[in-house]
Amino acid sequence: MAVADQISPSKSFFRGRKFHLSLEKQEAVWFYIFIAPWLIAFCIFTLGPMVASLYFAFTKYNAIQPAEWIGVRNFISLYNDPVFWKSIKVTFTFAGIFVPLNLVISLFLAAMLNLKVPAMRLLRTVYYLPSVLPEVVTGLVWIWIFNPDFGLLNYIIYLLTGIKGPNWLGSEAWVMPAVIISALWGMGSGVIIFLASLQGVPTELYEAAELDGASVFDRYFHITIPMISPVILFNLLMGTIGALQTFARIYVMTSGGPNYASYFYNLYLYTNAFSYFRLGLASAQAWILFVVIMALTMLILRTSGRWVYYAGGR
Amino acid sequence: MKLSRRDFLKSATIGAAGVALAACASPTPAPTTAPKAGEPTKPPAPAGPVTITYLVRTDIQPTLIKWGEQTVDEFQKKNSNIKVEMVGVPWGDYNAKLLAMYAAGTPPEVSANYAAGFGTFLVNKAITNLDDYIKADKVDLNVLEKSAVDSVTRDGKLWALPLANQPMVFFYNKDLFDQAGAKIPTADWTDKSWNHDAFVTASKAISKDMDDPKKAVWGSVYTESHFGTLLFWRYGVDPLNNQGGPDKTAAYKTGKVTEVFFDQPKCIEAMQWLVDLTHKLKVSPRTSDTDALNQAVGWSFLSGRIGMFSEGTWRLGDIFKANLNFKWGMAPLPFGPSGSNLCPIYNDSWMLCAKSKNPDAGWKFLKYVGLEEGAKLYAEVTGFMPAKKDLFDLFYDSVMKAKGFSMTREDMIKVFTGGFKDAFPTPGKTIDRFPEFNTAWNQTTAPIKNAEVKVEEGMKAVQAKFKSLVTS
Repeated sequence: MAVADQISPSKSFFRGRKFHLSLEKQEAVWFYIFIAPWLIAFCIFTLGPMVASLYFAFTKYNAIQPAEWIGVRNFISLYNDPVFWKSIKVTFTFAGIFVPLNLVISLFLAAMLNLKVPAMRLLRTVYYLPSVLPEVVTGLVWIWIFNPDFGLLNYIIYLLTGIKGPNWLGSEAWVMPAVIISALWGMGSGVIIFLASLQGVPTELYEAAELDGASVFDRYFHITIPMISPVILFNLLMGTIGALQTFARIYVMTSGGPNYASYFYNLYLYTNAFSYFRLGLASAQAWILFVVIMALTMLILRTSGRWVYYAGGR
Repeated sequence: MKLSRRDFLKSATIGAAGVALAACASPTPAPTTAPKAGEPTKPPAPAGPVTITYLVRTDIQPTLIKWGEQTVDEFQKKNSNIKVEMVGVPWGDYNAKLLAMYAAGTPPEVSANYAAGFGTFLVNKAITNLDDYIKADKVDLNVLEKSAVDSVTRDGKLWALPLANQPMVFFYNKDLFDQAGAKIPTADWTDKSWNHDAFVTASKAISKDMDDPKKAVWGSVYTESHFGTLLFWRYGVDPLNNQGGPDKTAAYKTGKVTEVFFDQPKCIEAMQWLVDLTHKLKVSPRTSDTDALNQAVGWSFLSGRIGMFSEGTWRLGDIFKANLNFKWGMAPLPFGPSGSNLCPIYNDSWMLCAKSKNPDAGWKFLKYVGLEEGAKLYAEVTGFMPAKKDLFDLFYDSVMKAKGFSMTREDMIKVFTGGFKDAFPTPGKTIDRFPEFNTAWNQTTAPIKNAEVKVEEGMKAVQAKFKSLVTS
């Protein structure tokens, strides 16, 4: 009996009179049958709403009355809206600072958590813990931490320096640093991914380099970084996409204030849709963000050829 | 039959698209007599058992949730042909849920104007005019407090049924007044000795340990209400006109904001006075301090560390459920420099949603909630002042039972009813696009309240922002 017959769960079905499929075609059929649930769910829950929102982006739509086609007026309206540009500035400022910081600090922490010291498993769990908590919950905790008079952070600053700390969430100047600090708190998943990749670097490479007289510095930059560069790329992409979509933390912690200083793009999108009843305009915003994220992702992927090393070739 | 991979893919895609389209399509509309949004209705007789949906808040006082459930139970007992499905949602998600229900083609029959006034719903054609129902059922609207009815009427048409109609007052902590030897505020809205000067004097007397926020007791928190109107009206101006108080503002009648005057001298003067309470006189906490106390106890006044707090009487619900360890009372708003103590009125109204499947059954439930047994229960248990006048006594009884309440019944009634004599609906409940204006106010006034910019400069920025909204 052929191996294909043994592994085919449907030999009688496909070998019936009506169906005479080659092994290759049988595999294809089963492939599509197995992915069909996902495909159907994708069409219903992702593709369908995306196509609908593309249409709504060119309409005046409040979810109550039928959508009215208005061409590109939503996009023109956004172009002329100072709050739209402010939200872009806020979001990109955050992403520009948070993403590199997140990469560097998570890599550093992963390196630390890769050391062989007692209670390391506990430490790894502790560092990962904030990532599993909902942003709404951590946001509430951070509100307390950042409170200028009652908060933990200013208390520590005062103990260490004798200086009264700033009004973190109430000041236009300090709200962005506060948001970045709170976002860095959730870097656990990036750390774990880096940690896994660090543990996957073959030790013989380090041994060989050591025999050749490479310093710790050399080994890190000429072995570790190149070997984990695909993971750096992954974390860079995920971090950038996540940063540009920041919402829940801001919704809870600042509501975009003060004076729009933390008015993130997605907060404005949500507000337009569900507070101002402007779902058409919000759809246009969503598509702008989608295109921007897509362009950035492609840009990063295009440049990755120069700095990402794939051991098995590309 | 030979099935190529391409054929299979094609049929699978068509199948998936079919399923997706079927899922996306609006459900087959049930036979309905729902009127078009914004048009008068002709209520026919209800036919057969029907199900209606009622969108309710779930994040507020347990008493209110209890009221909702009990009202639905009793209504269903009396109307066996109508089943009411309650859909609970927190305040912050209320509008989002409502819009999602509309988008899905299943709007609730009955919802409330929590997150925005009826004007916002009206301009979005989300609600149904009630005039024909009122006429058909011969409903006497005089049973309701006039200011409540006015708040949900536009161009002579009624768009919602007000359940709660609540004046803004100053809640005070009697123990702190006694400890400071300060005079307890009057209960009489016409007593002009209760003015901003007396308010500051009492606030100063109560305030202590201001340099240590962990121990500090603050004299007062003067919340300014929508767009600062509680404050500005006391200075004889309204930010939406440059002729005087809110009675001169056309937007409160039409819903359309066409002009703004936040940088007029009286608005700047009023805002300066407010900022000084915190940063110069140091009798009021900073926003961050109030936020911290709010986070700890739900409402900072309940912490027992604030002498006076201006709020709507809806806060009674918080007091009912709190185990207060101090005596408290309520006082009128103080007279401002212009000699006005005009009271902003907040109404919570229940609306019949446009495009709902069973508007007639919805109206029956709405009437039960707003005018019949539901309204009675509401007055008894929620702590929200009812709009229906014959229920005032039930409401007063519930307040008298609250722990720590230190006023006589007579004085309490004076505070509640006195507010209505010189009152005006708060802008949030009447103007169209209120959420947009409200966001603008909250965002642009933050630097002023934090004393990060000069008041005049800050109010010019507020004016510029509002102006851009008006012209957009």
